[in-house]
Amino acid sequence: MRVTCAFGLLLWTWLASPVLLAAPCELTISAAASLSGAFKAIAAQYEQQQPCQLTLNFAASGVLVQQLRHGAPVDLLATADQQSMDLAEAGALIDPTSRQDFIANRLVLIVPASPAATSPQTGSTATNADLQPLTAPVFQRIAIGNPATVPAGRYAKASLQQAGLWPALGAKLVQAANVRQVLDYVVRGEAEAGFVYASDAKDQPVRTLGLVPLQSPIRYPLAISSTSKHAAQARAFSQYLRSQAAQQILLQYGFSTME
Amino acid sequence: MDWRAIELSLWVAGIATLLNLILGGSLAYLLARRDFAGKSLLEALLTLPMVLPPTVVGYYLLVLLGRHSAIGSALESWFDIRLIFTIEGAIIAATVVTFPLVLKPARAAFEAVDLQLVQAAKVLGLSNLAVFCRISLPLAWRGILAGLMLAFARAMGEFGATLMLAGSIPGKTQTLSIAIYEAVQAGDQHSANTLVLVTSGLCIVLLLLASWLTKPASSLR
Repeated sequence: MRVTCAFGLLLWTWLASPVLLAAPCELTISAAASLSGAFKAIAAQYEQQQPCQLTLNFAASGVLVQQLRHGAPVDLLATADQQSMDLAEAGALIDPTSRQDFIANRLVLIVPASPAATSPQTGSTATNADLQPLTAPVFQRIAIGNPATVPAGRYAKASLQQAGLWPALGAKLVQAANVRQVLDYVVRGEAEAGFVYASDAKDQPVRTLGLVPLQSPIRYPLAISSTSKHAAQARAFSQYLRSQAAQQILLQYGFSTME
Repeated sequence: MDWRAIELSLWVAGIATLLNLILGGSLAYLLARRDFAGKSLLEALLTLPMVLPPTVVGYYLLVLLGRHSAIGSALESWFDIRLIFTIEGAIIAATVVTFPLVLKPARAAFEAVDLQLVQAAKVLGLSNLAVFCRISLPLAWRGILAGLMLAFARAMGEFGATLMLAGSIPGKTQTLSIAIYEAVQAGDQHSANTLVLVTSGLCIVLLLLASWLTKPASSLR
């Protein structure tokens, strides 16, 4: 009798455990590499306010779309350019009605901080960088993200093409897998210049030479994945990203408000 | 179809294997023939690149040979040589990672040489060099060759350390494995499939060659 009771109890506990132990909210968020710092901070804050467990996945936007295409169980996608999100939308990977822009960023040209400097020198993000000097021999290697997968690389390529410098600089370009790697190459001094976002250059041992002129402003879109099993919770988090609290954190990390 | 990636891979693997033949071969002979204090530690250090994840090896090399390192800055100021983001960097990465693959079989091959033959040769008046060239090497070459084939195949597939050290510069340092990785990342299935088939085919041919070359002499008839 006692054995039966004990067995029954164990069985019930095992069957009920998913309900008893389940977190009320679990979200997997794929975000562009440039968002890593800001999103970690935002996620920490969100988890304190809501009983929600957030899993963050960072990579170049092109890679994120590929992961989604191959079945990655992602709830929310945040990319660094419209083109990646267009690809996701074209592949029916996201819910088009949930797509919206949530923050802006700027592309800057950076160089390694001079060896003598002991503190990171903030550059002039108020002025436009002159790209012509990049053809000089002193710039042996220029780091950009791989234009095939990295939005920052696409923006950089577009601006270089617009300035008519793309053919001339072709041999000097070192392609990185994501924008943070571009930053790393410049911080290490292995590349004499690099194209990163203003948010990446902030508080880093690099010198910002100026803003890179672009045809249209950089706006980051987000969307809920079409295969998400937590659409309502994903919607709640996407709303949080547009709230004052999250926007404040993004601005702190060097992003800019959408005009 | 970008043939440059295949060219680069073959070149990097070829030079790396050649370097390892000289380095690995000589160190293997030393370890097989001599006993000295710290021998086990040296052996452990020399085998390390094989057990460490390639990205860790790549990171060590990046720190050791980068522009701001002692070696890197010396090379740059004296010889104007930069190793990061160059094919030379890729060769170094491949050499370091595949070194244990030559060292171990070569050492085993040298140790398998019957010491009595070596001693007989010495008694008959051969110099140490002659003993190496006429006794040890002819008896050990099959084992060394097996190691070289393995190292070549491994160097063809080297990815983690190469990516860290040489980056991915199409036409300059983008080897086969890196090209495949980037093709998959970009969703270019066609290129990825072609490159994968070419790499697999090359490696199968190499391994078949290795097993054929290392068959015992009697069965070659």
